[in-house]
Amino acid sequence: MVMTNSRTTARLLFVASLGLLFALSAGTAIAGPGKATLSTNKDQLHLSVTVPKPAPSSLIAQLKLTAGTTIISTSPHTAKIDAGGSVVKWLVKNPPPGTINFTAVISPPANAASASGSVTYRKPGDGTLVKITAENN
Amino acid sequence: MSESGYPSGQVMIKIDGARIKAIREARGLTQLYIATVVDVTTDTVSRWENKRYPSIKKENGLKLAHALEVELEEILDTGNDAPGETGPEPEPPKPEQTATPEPGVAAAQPEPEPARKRWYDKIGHFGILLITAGLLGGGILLYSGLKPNPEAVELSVTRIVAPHFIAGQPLPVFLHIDKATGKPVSIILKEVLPPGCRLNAAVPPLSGSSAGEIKWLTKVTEPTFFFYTVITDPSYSGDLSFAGIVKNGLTGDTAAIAGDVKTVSGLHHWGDTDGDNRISDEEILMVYDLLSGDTGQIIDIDQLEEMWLGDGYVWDPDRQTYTIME
Repeated sequence: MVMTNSRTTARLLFVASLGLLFALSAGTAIAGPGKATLSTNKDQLHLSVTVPKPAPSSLIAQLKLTAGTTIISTSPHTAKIDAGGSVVKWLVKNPPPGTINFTAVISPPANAASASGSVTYRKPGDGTLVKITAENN
Repeated sequence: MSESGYPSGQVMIKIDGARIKAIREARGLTQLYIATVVDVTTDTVSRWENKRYPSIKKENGLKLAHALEVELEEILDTGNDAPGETGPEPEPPKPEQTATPEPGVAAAQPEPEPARKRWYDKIGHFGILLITAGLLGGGILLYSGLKPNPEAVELSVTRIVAPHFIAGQPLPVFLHIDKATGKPVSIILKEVLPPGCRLNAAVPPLSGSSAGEIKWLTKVTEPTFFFYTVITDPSYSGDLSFAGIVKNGLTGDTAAIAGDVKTVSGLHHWGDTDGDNRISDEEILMVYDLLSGDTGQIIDIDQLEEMWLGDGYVWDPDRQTYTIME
């Protein structure tokens, strides 16, 4: 029990020190707001992400689908598809400021209407986790 | 001719003290900083600059050039020396060191006082008055210089190390230097490696290392990451405790490195901070925040990404491999 508490404390300290680290460097860069929009076209889902300036070191774009949806293809190709196929994720390293588009072709097309999208990244400067839910377009 | 051999085989070089002083001051470095880097006393540095020891060991000359961030040739005396200025430096040991003369180097001798007229006979009363006024003025300047300088650059260094690691696998240690202003500051960063582990890699490259200690000597202009990895024997079990200091070349101040100190061996990847045998979105984003530039080549980031892509991982200590669940 003591060991578990020590490990928990150590983990908290580790995470806290990361927060401190990025808090220390705050002021050197102020992140602008990111943005995400989700649109559908028959069996295609388009997630458009606006990367803020300064850009984060990496970001994860995500599509959440209703149960029973099959992922036919994704673009960019490299994507993490959770077991069950209900979540598609793209990890983008060193994204440039601007717009990045992600597409997934699904089946049945009717499920596209109930899909949702989001983008997650750590804010440059203070390291806080930012999660932006995509607006439906 | 700026290089000469001595009977011991020790190569001596002639240095340009005035140039050394000018470079040091132009770079905002203190004599203490130079002394620390070269591993001599501040008195020795002062003597080098004032041409009282115009010849020094080449080894020290190289360290001196490194500390001044110039090539050795830039601090060599290329002109003709005045007679009597070519004696080798005695380089007195630091107070805490044993006063053992180096082989082939003459032990420190009191400098001979040349016969001269008594100084106060030469300058007269008016001169004494001028010197007194100068001393008073200098004292005032010194006093004002000792007061806290609001523009002084204060450095803080934070160590980031995961709460756990797997024995036999590289463990990254991140040192983050935060700096308040954009003014370049020379620093010495030293880390003492915990017993039971050895250095695996470092970014940027180290300026020096000895048994159990690593060192960077560099200049920082903005918040900067220093990074190194250590590795233990696969059979290692227990804690690793880290300690280190940062020396500010501008102020001469030394401060302990703050942040994480201890990590414990276990069965979880260092990137799996919550120890749930999965690399979550937040964990992979955090790792990419820390591993930027060259650091990604030292750590197997692809393996970590595979863990994130998978549904979890398990460490097999017997096979020394991860099994990633699909």
